[in-house]
Amino acid sequence: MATLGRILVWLGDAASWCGSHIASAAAGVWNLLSGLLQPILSPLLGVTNPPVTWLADVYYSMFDGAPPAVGLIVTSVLTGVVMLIAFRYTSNQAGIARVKDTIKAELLAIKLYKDDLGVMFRSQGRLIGATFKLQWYMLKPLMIMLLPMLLLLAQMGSRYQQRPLRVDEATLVRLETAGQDATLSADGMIVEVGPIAGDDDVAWRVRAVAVGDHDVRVQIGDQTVSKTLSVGRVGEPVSVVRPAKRWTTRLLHPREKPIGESANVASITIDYPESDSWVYGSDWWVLTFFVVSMATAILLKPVFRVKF
Amino acid sequence: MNLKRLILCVVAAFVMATLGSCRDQRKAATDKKVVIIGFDGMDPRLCIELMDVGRMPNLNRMRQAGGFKPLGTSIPPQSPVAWSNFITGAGPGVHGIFDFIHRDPTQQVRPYYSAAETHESEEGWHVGDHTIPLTFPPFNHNPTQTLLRREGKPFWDFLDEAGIETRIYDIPANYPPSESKHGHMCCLSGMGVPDLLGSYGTYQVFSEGVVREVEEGGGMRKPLTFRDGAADAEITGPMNTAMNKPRPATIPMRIFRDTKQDATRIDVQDQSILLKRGEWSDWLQVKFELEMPSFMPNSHASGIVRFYLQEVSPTYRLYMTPVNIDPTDPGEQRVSEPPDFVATIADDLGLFYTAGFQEDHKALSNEVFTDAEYHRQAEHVLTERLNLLDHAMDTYETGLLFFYFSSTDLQSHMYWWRTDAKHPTRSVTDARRYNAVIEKLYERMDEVVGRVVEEYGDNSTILVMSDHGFCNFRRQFNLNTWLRETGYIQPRGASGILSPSINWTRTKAYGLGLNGLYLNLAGRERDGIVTPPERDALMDELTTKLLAVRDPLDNRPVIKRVYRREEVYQGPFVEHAPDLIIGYHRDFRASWATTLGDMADAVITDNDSAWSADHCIAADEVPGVVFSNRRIAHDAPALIDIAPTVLAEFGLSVPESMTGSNIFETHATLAEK
Ligand SMILES: [Zn+2]
Repeated sequence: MATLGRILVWLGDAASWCGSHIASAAAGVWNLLSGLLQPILSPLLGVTNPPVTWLADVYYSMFDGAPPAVGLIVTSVLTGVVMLIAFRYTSNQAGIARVKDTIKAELLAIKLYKDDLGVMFRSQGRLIGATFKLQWYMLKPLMIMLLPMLLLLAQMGSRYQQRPLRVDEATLVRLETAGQDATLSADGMIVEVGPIAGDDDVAWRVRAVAVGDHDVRVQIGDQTVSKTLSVGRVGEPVSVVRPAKRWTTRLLHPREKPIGESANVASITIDYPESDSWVYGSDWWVLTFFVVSMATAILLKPVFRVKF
Repeated sequence: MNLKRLILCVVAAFVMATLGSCRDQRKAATDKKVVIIGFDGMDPRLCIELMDVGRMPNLNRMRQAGGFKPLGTSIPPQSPVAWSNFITGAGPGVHGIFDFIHRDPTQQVRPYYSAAETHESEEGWHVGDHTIPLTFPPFNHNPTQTLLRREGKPFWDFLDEAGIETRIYDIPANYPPSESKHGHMCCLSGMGVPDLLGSYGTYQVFSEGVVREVEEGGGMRKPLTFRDGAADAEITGPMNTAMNKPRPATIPMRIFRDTKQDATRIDVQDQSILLKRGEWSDWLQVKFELEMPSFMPNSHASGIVRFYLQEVSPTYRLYMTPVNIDPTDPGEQRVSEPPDFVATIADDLGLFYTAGFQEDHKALSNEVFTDAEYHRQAEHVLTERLNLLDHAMDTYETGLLFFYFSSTDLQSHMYWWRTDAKHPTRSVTDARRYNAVIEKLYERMDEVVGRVVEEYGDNSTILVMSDHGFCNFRRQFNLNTWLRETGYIQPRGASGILSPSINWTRTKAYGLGLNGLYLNLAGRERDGIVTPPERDALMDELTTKLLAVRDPLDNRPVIKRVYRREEVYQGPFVEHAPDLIIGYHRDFRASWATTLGDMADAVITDNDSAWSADHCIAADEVPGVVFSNRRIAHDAPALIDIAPTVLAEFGLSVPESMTGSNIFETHATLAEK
């Protein structure tokens, strides 16, 4: 028992050592990649975000007055259908059919010749190869669908992850800046305390007093940067962050125009409360979306004669 | 029906099918409603005084209709004992709770909390710095478990068996909650529930001017040093018992101070809080990580805290509530029956105090809080409980609803002062001012009763009751010092019954707990010397001497009654009781030192604590109250009569384990039956 314990601890230490190195390596790769993508994606998102947001708003206006879950379910079903059709035309359907046949054949071979080790191993090998090939065929449509999917998820996130403030509710406004003195003003809310600087940002505590979309204005030196604050409009989208030039922030928070470079501000954030609902509340909506859209795609596979 | 409901229903159906839960839709066995509001420590004398001048109109209406009597309390009148009487419909001989503190005579006098005990898991598997309990097959060791020590069958078990829906909120002396075998009982445990640290409430104060971390009964003070306006601190969490050398899990915290704005910022686990001086934060969830060996995932415990910024400059002081068990994520801590009952409440209400002692009286006693600050914190507790009552009433349909308020007890302990004598910590005007807080509180509790009557009035039975009354606590009696002075504890230089200075081979009796006096009995106590034939005579002798004790200050008698256990208890657990139970006169109580067996220099001293009122005295001096919207026929109802009354209201017969009787029937009619 004691020896087993020592071995397990040793293995565990080794695994966590490897894990932390892999994680830091992955982070390095990501930083590099993100840096390379910054000059491409940041301006691209600057161009795509406004029309996509406009489209999403027009689309979601259909669900005005309906419970949030309706819009979420309908959108998930439609996404399932669109994914299916897109997959059909962007994937190598003939290739997929061939690989699936191979898989079936090899599975049969394994069953029939289970006493013949040679055949077994060869079939096993081919099976693994075929599985990889199937993954490979999936990759191209996945890459093509990735960006539209992310744009869609960002739009959905602004509707389901958080909710607008309620009147009389307090929250924090945070400003990521390079340390100048800043002042905050707005209609529809009162600034109760702040700014107080933390290690990474400067924060104010504000309390909502009136329903509506208000302009929060931050004065830094001679520059004024503003940000929308949504109060009391249940079901309306919220913009948690007004991004600056970082493409990741632009991708996740598409609703507001990026802050100009001269302002020396990396982002303005409002800590909206998370929505609480089992279907569309914080993080649940992602699960609902994937389950419903995948179920739709699987159910309609024969209808559209798609193979995957 | 929206989709959220639909999914909820499917999930609920699963839970029901497997566990048989509260949201059972089976037809209720009865349409009858019985609502009990329990006010801990509500005093009949003060009630009468306030009713007489029209300040408690709702309760007065019940009184005028014959629905008011003082309610006989338990011997001794301590809350865990009294509520156990209520729960079992029988005395301590049946439920086995005789005091806050019991002792194990086989280890001579090892003291322990009477209400619950923690069983450590069997020796686990030593792996590196850790010891892993082997609670899984094939080892199946018992995990570390806290078990309820209260014996006897609670009255709700009989309701549960009969299919009567029962909802119980914040009941004392029921932690961990007893199980509902038939799925008709939901219970949120009250007094007795620990905080996440396993204590009965440990606040944490982060403060400048503290040299090093200090633990003081009920809290910790932690030093802060600001550099460039920022300081680092750690929130102390639960013990990681999987470590060979157990140490508490901690959470780092960054504190920023802004003296110009008289405000602070607290950054903890990706959350920030901004507070001005004098402000309380909302509840904040904090997740403690309990480190396990590297090949296992770490375990987690979720707690909730609120911060209160007391001062920014010159001396920064930040108070943090005890880390309460997170009601939305109680983990392995069972604070309700069924275990997810607490989470369903939190889904509706948000976060709330789950620990048994919610009013932080220790912060006041230790001078972390001023009188006004304690009052404000106690108000938070009351507000939360009133919201919980709303929730309870919204979800209650038929059967029994029991709801408990601690405010009437824990505010009275600190603010009750119905005399012109000097208060231990307050000026005369302040003592009067804060005593008025209690009167105001009684008025508000009367309004609560008004709401309940309005909601359920005519077609239900309403009972409003308390477990005991109240009185001033001015002078403290050092029982063990008295026993030493009178020669029953030896030698003369002994400093406490837990100290090695005591000589057990020459000691005949000792005091422990708030009212207990034990003989050092041969064959029972490990080092016992009093032989059974000597026992009776010794008890007579002690009783006579105790009743003769006078306060040297004004020659008043100190002790009103000395009860012999054989005379006041019946049942299977009488053997565990103290041999003698001391019932003090009003104004007196066992000293703080006595409760844990310590001694002071003088036998009788002033009470110097902000805890300036009490009830652990002679039972006939501090009865509780019982009000009802029905006539109370019983001449002298007592706590043990409530459970039989509830069963009778639902048409159930009173089981033999209960010694009480229905308060709506006279003794004469009961005798006929
Ligand atoms: Zn009390």
